[in-house]
Amino acid sequence: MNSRNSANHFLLALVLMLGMPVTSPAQEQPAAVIDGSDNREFRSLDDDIQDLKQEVLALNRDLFILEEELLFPANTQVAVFVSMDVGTFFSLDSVQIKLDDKEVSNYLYTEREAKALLNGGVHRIYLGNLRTGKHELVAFFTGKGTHDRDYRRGASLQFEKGVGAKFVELKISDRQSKLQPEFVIEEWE
Amino acid sequence: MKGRIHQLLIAFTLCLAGAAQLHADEDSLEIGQVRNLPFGEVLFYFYQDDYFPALTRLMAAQHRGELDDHADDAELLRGGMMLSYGLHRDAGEIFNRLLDRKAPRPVKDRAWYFLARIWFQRGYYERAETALARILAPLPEHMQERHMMLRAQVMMARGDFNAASRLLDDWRSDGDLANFARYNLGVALVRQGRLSEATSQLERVGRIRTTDLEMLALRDRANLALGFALIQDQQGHAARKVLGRVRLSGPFSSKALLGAGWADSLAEDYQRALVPWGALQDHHLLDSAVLESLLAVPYALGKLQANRHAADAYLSAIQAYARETDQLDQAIARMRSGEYLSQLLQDDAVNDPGWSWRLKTIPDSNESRYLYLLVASHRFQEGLRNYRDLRFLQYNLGQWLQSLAAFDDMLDTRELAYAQREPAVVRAIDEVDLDSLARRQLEFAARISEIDENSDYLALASAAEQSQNHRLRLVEKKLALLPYGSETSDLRKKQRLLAGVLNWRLEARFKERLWRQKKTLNDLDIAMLDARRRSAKVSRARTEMPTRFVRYRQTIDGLRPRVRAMIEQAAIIAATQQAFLQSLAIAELEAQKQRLYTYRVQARFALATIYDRATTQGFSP
Repeated sequence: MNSRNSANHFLLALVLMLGMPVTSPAQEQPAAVIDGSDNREFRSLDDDIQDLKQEVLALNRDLFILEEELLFPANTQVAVFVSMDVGTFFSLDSVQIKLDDKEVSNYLYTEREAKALLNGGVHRIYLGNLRTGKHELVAFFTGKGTHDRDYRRGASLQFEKGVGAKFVELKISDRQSKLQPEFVIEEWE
Repeated sequence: MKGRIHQLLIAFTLCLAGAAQLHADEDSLEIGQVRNLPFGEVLFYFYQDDYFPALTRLMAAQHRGELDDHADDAELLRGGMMLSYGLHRDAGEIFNRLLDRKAPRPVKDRAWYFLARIWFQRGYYERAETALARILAPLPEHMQERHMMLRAQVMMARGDFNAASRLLDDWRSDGDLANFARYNLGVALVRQGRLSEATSQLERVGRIRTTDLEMLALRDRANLALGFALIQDQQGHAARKVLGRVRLSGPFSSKALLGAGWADSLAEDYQRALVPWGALQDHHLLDSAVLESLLAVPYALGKLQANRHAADAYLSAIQAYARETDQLDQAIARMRSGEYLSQLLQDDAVNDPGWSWRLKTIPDSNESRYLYLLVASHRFQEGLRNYRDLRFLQYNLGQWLQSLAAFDDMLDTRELAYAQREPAVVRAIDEVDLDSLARRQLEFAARISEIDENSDYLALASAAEQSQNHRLRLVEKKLALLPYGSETSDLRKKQRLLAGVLNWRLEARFKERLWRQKKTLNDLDIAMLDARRRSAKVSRARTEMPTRFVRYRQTIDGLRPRVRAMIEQAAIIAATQQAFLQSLAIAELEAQKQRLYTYRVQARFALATIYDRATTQGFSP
């Protein structure tokens, strides 16, 4: 066996294998210069998958809307949202909601959810149906206040449910002047 | 405030798109208060990386027209989330549409960079190149090297190694990324046959001083690549030196030992070649370098005239290759059955969309050892992610199919409740004659107006006052019938005084009483208006409800085949995707099998040559 030829023959595969461009795996995933036909197949499949994902997303949207319309028609719909602004003086653990003296929600927030609220997210804590007329909403906020002290506060709102959907926002914000959190309930139409 | 949210969203969109760790000071902006509840709800899921519910809610809110105040921001966010969900085509269209008019120049450039990277990773090299060409100004300093690296990668992917090497040659910094760039440049130069230039690049990487595991692996890789390139160029001594720098404890030690042996054999120092090759005999057979060494050792022994040992070693190699071929056959069969793919995803929850998912561990099996390079490749990982996404889509669609049955029940319940309530509502409406009420209201208004015009304060007197007035009038009439005299004079005076007091009192109270009546009239107006509005709503509802029920029923009936069709489509695409992944793996296994076959043929041929030589030269092998 000719040493030069055999060495070349054996080594070719290894050299090709090693010859792939590499990048830092932390940021840029290595992308090999891949075989043309495989890549074409990958792209065609990728196109099919993109089409399907797009269709499924549109379907999820339609079904989500239909589900809400069926379960919570606009004329009886009441939605309660929780939002937080700043949150220096209060760290949220849970929110309990009573509608006309009946508990309708008692939500315990995970750290991730509380962080999402602090980042500007708004949580729809309750979605339900109410008859038109006068109603009372009472919310209890539980968490940690300044110096890690247990903190529980309540806020209430008398509201008139009209024929359209009713949105109520429970806002937790910092009251700088008193160095205390503030809990406000605001109505949205 | 809106501008602040907009910047924030773009920044986060870019984060999503590139899954990159952006510099906090430059790309993470303070979050403003969102004054739109549906949009805030989308962000609530978005900030938790729950992109599927976030995207569903975002699209639903857009459909209902609830995000009109944040229309462009919502679109950008949708684009970002779509990009992270692999929908780069639609995301690209959204960015194309919005970035040009919405975003400042630096943001646009960064967005094009991330889009280019996604397209490159997905194999859309032309699109990646076009996106890169749209970057006009220099990117922020911390992104410049990555940008340059990406440009080079795209050039190499398109086969333009010359341009890639020219670009990477301009690399000036000394960071870790520079070492990756130099490695890539070295490889690009080797591929163009420009070995001396490649040597200087790969040498630099091959000599870096580091304790970082990633850099150590890169250093080994550079030395290995250069070593093999030098062997191909017949530079055995130089290759031996370079390959000697590869760590024996590292993942490339087997290949380095193999190469070191070939470098020695190039210098015809077969005795020395046997040292690294012999060392390889202790390594695991699954390593391709070890398999090759099984052939290399008897080859060196043959060169050293140790024919008997060489023949024995060839025989052992043939047996080892046969065993390995059997193992590969079994692995291919398992691969064809789909067993391995299921194993890869066995710990993965099917109901978790997890868009930033990456395979972290691979099954402890022979297939993994044969395929670890392939499984680690971006192409396979992306394919696996798509396959995983398809599994989630199938799960999601299956859930909706069940929900549709529940929707039917809900609709039945609502229809029944409506049918039960409607007669009572109709009765209540029939009992109330709004027109008659309106007529009476008009009469009342006319009467008030008349009282006002005539200052008819008696008309607004209380019942007691009316009675007092009546009694005073009767007294007056009686007194009129009596003769005038001193006795009746006092009575007449008293009657006039009392009538005067009553008149004064009625007059004094008239304005307030009139105002009250007018207010009542006004309240009545409002109440009548409200009653008419409600009546109209009820009438409309009575007309619309049956239509609405029909519409809901049609929607549900229309959705059911749509969901079923998608489930079928998802199953077909998932099967195709599975077949594609399996074909990649099988092709890899077949290539390894083919290599073994070649080794076996070469071993048999070499063995026959030894036997032939023994026969002709009269010695016993």
